[in-house]
Amino acid sequence: MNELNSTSSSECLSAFMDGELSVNESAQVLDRLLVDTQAKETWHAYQVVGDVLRSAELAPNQSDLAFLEKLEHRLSQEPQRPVVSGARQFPVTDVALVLPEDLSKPVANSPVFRWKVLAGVACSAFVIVVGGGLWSQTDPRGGGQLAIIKPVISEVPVVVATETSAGPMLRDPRLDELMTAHRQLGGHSALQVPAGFLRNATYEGAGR
Amino acid sequence: MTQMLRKWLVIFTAFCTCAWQPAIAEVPLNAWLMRVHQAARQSVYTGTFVVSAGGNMASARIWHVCDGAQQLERVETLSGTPRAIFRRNDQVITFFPQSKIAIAEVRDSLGLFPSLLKSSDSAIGDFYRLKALGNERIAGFDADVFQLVPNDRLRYGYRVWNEKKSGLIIQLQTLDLDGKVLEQAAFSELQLDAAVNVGKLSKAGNTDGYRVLRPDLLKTTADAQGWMLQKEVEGFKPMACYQRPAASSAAGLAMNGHSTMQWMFSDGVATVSLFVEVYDPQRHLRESLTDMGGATHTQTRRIDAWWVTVVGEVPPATLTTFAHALERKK
Amino acid sequence: MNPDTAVNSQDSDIVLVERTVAGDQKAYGLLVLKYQRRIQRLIGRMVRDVDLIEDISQETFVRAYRALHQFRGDAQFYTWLYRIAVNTAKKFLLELKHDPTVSENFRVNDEDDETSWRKSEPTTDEGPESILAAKEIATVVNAAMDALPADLRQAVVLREIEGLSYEEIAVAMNCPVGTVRSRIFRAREAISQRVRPLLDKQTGKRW
Repeated sequence: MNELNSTSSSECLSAFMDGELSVNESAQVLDRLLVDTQAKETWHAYQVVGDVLRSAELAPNQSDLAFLEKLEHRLSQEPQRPVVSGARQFPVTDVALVLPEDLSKPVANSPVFRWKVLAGVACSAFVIVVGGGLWSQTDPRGGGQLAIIKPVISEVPVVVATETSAGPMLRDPRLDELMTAHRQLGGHSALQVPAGFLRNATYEGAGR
Repeated sequence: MTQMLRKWLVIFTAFCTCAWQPAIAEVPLNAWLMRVHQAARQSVYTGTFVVSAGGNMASARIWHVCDGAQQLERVETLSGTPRAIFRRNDQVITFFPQSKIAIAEVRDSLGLFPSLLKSSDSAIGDFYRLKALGNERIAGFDADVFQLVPNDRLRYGYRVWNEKKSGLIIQLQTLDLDGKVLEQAAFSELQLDAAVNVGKLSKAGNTDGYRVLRPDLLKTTADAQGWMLQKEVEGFKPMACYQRPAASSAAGLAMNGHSTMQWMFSDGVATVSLFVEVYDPQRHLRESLTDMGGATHTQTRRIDAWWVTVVGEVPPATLTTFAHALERKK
Repeated sequence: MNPDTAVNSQDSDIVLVERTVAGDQKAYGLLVLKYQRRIQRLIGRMVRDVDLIEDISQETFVRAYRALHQFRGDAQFYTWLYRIAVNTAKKFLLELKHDPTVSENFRVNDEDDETSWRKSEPTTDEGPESILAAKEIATVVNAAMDALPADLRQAVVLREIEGLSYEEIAVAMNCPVGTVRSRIFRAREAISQRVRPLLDKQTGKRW
């Protein structure tokens, strides 16, 4: 990985974003990123692209740059922080400000990104819906249905709803057919009876 | 990577402990599966079943009875298109009261278990392990809670609530690779050993007044159709293969108008179907990966003159692996 | 993204945090560029007034900056930042309890996640042009994805939306890791070509 041409360096930047570089390579990319305006612009653009792919709501509606400038101005007025030298100095005594594990996945938790075929392309409107399919387990019977098992399960089983909202969902009838066929015939599962069969029988009609 | 074959000796009332050393909180998987399965066959129950997946919910009323050697079951949907499904063992009739059409079919897969488990090829334990999580009260019953943990990232995990006495599954959650619930199927209300009128339930299979359609389904093999998997997807074995001719006589059934091969795989718990049809540029617009909400994903791919759709309750990457492993025999 | 696998974007966050804590404030700017939209959306679900959203978001990043040396590398950076955002918003809202522009229905408690809140958008103190600008960016990303060759699109989807590592994508797509890396890069590059002019346009600012 060298800085000879901007394409290969952008490719390194892309890999750095994904955490796929070694410690040394990361350091080099970061060094360049901090001084090269074009590299920073690429970082910004790639981050926006990633965000928008996960949710159209994340498209910036005002200048991200303006926000950053304002912030940097503010930070320049902060008292100089004591420099912590060396890698990874995380004092053990500090309070960990962490949320339960399951909330730490911004990618998986983002609302479904509806990515529609543009109008005018073909008769069978084909919608590609990508993203996490989490659903709500708010239990009217009160507090954590899995409360009893808490000590045994390592993560807090709080799952939150992501509704299939944000726009009408166009279904592909052919895909529906295949999914039905899969459910009808593909029940070669140890959990088929009763749960699997009942699940398929109950769920087939949903959304029609 | 070759799969290790393990011989499981499973006997109905006891299990052979010599073949397996239980770890802390781990439970012998096959014995558990047998119990779960037996419970479903032999229990008499009625209740309301609710399925939640990706923000959608669907529910149905269920009646189930075991009448000697035969199992009778009726499912009446409470949401979506009105339907009633009547099952006698592996024969299934789906009634559509609005159109007065009934679709009668035999679902092989329903007859497979428990022979699936008894066979020496059964290696579910190679890909999942079972953990006991404790117990909880649910839908008015005491239940044991288990977690079926996948050994790799090619498949999803599950959390299962078994009614304590019978072993009947009251609730089943499908968990994604991070342990989050993708979908849930459960009895919101259940009566076990309820007095179900067997005679009345049998009559639910009566098709008077309905036009009965039978799907055109030819049992075949992928090999005969000219297809193979260049590389096995770990744990997933081929289960069956069907060909549906183009001119399907059953209205409202899948494959209307398009001849399609359905090649089915399973690892014993999760299932995947590979659908192959002739590529049609008018209809087959774009390769994609979709998530309809819940555990089921689909992926499409073009292979030369064919169009492949992969469907399964597995992580998307597994579907992609299938899609790329399928190839024409040479 | 699986916290068990060594490779996930948390690594680049950690690198940026370390660099900031080592004295380079500019590294923090890169983190801001990455997370500001998510934080603003998060705050936007609790608060209607657009200026207030920006103020709270700014304050969030300031507080995070001050506390950066306290960030424990074993949790995800966004989780930590998220918590600071929620606490900052709470503090503001408590002080503005009687402000009529503040939305009344928010529920802000420890169990909340951004996806569980009401879906209503901030009120229209932002001009229609900025809403349109956002829509335009989303449309352009859409169009660019449509135009991508299938392999590139699939690779970037598996990475950005499913959160798989390069290794996992390589197995799924039956190709070498280097090819995955290249495909993801080319997809990103193709889409950002279309997005860049719109970003520049937003306030006429140029890098």
